[in-house]
Amino acid sequence: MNTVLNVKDLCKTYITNKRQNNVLKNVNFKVNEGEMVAIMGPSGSGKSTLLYTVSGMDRMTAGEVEFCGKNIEKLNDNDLAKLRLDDMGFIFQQMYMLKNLTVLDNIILPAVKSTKTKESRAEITERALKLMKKLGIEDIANNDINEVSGGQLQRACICRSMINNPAVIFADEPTGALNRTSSDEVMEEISKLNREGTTIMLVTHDAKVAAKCSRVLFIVDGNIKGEYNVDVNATLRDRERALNNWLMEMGF
Amino acid sequence: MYLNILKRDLKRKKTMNVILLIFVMLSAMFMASSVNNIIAVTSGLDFFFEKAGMSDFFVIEMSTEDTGLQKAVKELDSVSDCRKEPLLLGNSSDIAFDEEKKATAGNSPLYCSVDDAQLNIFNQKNEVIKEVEKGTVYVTSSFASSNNVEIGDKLTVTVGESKVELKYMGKAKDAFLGSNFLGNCRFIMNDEDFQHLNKDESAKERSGNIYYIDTTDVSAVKATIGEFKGVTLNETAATMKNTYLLDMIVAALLLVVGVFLIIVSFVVLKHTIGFTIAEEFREIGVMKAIGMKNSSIRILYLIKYFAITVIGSALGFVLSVPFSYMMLKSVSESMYLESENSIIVGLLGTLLVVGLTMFFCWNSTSKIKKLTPIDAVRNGQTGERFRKKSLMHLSKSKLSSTTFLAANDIVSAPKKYSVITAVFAILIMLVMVLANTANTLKSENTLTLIGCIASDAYILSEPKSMEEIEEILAENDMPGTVREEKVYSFGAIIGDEKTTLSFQHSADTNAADYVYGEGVAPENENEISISYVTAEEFSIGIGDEITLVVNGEEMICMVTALHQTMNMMGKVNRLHQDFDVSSFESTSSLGYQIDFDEELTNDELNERIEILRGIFGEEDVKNSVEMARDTLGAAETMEAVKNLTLVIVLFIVVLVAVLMERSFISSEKAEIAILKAIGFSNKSIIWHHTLRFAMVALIASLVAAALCLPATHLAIDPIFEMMGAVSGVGYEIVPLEIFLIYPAILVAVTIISAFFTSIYTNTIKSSDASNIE
Repeated sequence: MNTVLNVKDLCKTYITNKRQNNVLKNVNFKVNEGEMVAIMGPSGSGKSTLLYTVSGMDRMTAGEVEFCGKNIEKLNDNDLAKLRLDDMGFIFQQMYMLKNLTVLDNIILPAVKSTKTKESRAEITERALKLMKKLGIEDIANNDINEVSGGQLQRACICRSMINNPAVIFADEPTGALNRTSSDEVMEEISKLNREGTTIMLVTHDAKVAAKCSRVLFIVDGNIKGEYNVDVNATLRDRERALNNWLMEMGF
Repeated sequence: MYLNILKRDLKRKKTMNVILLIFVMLSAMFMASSVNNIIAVTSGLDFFFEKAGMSDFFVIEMSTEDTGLQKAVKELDSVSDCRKEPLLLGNSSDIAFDEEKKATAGNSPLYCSVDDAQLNIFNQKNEVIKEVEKGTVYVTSSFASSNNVEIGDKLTVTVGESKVELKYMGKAKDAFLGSNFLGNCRFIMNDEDFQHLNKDESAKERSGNIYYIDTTDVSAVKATIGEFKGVTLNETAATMKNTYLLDMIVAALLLVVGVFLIIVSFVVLKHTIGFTIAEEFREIGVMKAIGMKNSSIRILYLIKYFAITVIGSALGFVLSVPFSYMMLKSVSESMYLESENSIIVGLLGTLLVVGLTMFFCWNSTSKIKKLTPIDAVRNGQTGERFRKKSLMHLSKSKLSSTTFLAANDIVSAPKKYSVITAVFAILIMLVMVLANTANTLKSENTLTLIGCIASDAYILSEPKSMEEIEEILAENDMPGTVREEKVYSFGAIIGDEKTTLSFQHSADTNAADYVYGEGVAPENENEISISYVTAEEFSIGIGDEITLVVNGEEMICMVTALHQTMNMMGKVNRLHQDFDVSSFESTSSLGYQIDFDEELTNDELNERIEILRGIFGEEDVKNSVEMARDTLGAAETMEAVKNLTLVIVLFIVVLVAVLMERSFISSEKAEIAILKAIGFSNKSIIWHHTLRFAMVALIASLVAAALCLPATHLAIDPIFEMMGAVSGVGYEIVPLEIFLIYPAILVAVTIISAFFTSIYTNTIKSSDASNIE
């Protein structure tokens, strides 16, 4: 399998009030094409920082991140923006969208901006509607974002992240702001995307969410303390139980 | 606690607070200095007239002999005094610097002896000029501004064969003839020099007297002087005050700018307070949840704005002192002002700004009452706090994503953007109104307002007769017709009332060629047109009869038309071309008008005007635009006011654009982060933000261009009306300026301001999307 993300000796340091805070310390890992990797760890361990640094949303202090063969630390801001637009998808905990646009317009916005394909606006719209149908939200296409539920909105955010057929989708606590039912529905959609071949890297606190992934990286104080390969052939309940046991061993 | 919150807020919103401070400071500065100027000029006029010993009524009579006018007026019961001061009417072309360079002295300058002075005329130190040494002269201020003359410069004044060399001693403050609007300069010289000029034979035709009459019944005086044919001017003190209108206009315009700045400050304050409250809904909700009262929370916000207002107003007040002095400088050169800078008046103006601003702030914080503790626990962005927004659809639009976002932002928040549009539109309209006025004052349109017909060229000096000028034209292969507009003063009987009326007449033009507001042009010699001001003064109109007394003979004339004129404050009437009157009876001339026989291109016309200048003198030959511009003399003042206003307006535009864009960035931080996260580059975001302001500026320009003509009528017609143009003015709209230059300046300045401010979006990172509240 091809490696889509290769992280070597990644360091991230913040300086706050003249104090140096080493959030990530020589982090090394790889993500292969088609994988679904969860990053877990206690609060303040550097999970989100790791996600944003490897996705080029934040600049690293030292180390190397190779995304689809490109060293992202060598890219300028414009190239990074283009990389995010064409090859990455993002899902956040807060399902934030532009409030002046309808749900459909929010979804097609990255595709309209992108020059990756030469699709017409009608073709983009058609593709977005198909995506929405797939995620069961085709009825809210022309709704304003204040007219839909949190679960529907997060599924719309997944559609937006998928619209440019990215190589990897990065998700930061994608179910963190949802109730259990919505959370299960959203995770089912994300898992389905992964089963269809999309590489996914997500940050979560929730073992039930992480159990749906193929691999779990456990991070403490900016270091990857352990790595757990989920038995994808086991039932979800068994996977969850086994993962919880491992997490307890790791001190979570 | 209040102090800590205040300190935190001041630090966090540094740029917005600094801009608010600048707005308040400018408002206070303009308010304090403009109110000060208006009061200084209006009360100063009364003070100046009183100190000068101005009378109730003034007459200028051209005659070398004693006609008995003084005696006749003194015999009236209503007259307590009638003082007489001899004068000699000069010719602008007979004044030169060092005997070489010709001076410009407007209409015919008046030479007077200091020994005969019946008014107190002041020097620049506000001392009465009681003595003028032989060989020296003081001149009213308009002469200095048209000639760049310095104290100590040598002037040569010639009347016929008599010549005197005079050293310029400075500007004289003359209540009667000191206004720049009058166009007549008064030369106050030593009696010996005055008598020397009077020795020449030609002086006899140019001698006369100024009469200063103290009366309680102006009508009776007017009726009496109507019998004296040499009267060239008869005006009340009230009318003479109006000649200082231009000085007042500058102060009034600054007041308008000041008032407008305050309005803009209020709009900006309202926006800022509204934005702050909307942004801090959670903090306010928490404060309410822990039991703080509405009034306590409002006071918290008001303390901040009070601090900004007090500091800004104090700075504005300090700055208003030199600013006020600078504005009053030109006025105080021609007027003796009681107090050129009143601290108390300025302070009151400043306190008014503080009071109004605080009142407005209190009202604007009423939104706090609507917020509840529930708001604190709601996330907000997806909840009930937002109404339906999307009006345009990206899926159906042909616009690029960035342009679409910019346009959609505007249509989705019309209230927010219409405030900026309105502010920009009014600001640029202010400039357009002044530009229309300045362009009108220097256009041919103005010629009709002084009762002239547009001609190819004008000669202002009177060195030759009309026939001689025509001969000169023929000799130089540019044949043409010469005619002359003359002004006459006749006694008149209207009903039972006797008075004096001024008339304009040219034997070589057709009365039908002039512009009339109502009725038909005079067709017979006993038909006349009267000005609206005359019609109103004597309550007469079309169809009424006026008996004119010309050379002792009475002639009944019928009013067939009404017209407007700015000549002699709107009081000049018009005679039919066949009216039997000798040109020697005229009291003044508007100069010779030349119409060449051939049709000429502009270049050919300019070439001929240059030839005429070679023959008649550089300063004495004008084309129609120069004639219009110089006759009213206000075009340059208006141009200067317009340029000053443009600078102020652009400064305000920059402040508004920067303030608004900064507040937009603050409130749209999450959207910017999310746009960056999904792949929008910094450049795209900056373009998106800049484009919104460019669109707003463009809309504002279109609105301003569409409304500038009615706005000009609304704002400027009353000023022209005071000068005699009572039935409106045909304004000169220069399309290039109104539809291109000013809109382009507004759009360019807005784009530059918004662009540089939106660079701040670079500080928002895509990873901030994870911290969205």
